[in-house]
Amino acid sequence: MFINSREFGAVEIDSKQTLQFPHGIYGFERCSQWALIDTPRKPFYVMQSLTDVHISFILVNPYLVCEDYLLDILESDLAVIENPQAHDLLVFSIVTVRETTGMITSNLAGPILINRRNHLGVQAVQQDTKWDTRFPIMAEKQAAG
Amino acid sequence: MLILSRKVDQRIRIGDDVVVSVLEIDRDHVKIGIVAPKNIRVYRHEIYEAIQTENRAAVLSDMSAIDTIGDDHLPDAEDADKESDSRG
Repeated sequence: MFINSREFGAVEIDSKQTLQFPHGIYGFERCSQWALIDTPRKPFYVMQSLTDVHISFILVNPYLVCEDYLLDILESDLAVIENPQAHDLLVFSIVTVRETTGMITSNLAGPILINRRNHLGVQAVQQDTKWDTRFPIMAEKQAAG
Repeated sequence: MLILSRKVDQRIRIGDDVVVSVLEIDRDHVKIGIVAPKNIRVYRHEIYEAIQTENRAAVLSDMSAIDTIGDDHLPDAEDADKESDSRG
């Protein structure tokens, strides 16, 4: 099927790439249908709303951004995506590019969880307050290098 | 807004399944216990607000900014494959 995306215009996706978020995303509660799109820039992905073409997020694997990242979430968040087995659980972090400073951060406090068996998704909330909504991606890599 | 006055060890029941208990009060710090079914998501409000605010900032981001960054400044995609292998 073809969908309209903010980043890439019309793109063809497989039905396996469609996702359903029963509660939407915080601030975008009405957007329940999404598509996960590969980008030329691995390991980044785009999550495009199928409800509103103007709404899309850039996602990244949080374990690459922060080596000691750990999920610390409520069972009720996992229940939304019907309690996936560990090998069916995909974890992503939403990336923000700040227009004014160009700074690139990722939101480690509100991870996106996807059950790849049933394509259900949820934005979970980390219980430990040490996880930042604006964790710098580049500063971390530069420090490590 | 419904306003109720409670002392330590007193509780509030919300519907059939949710009980909120005042466990401890120390000056301006209140420790609250919540018993709720597993399908009810309970969060600290300020974290919820921070995530909502960040989502609204993130939705304006586009890939062109990421495309302009050198590979050496980005997370390593090959590590991503190793990561998914080790978890799979």
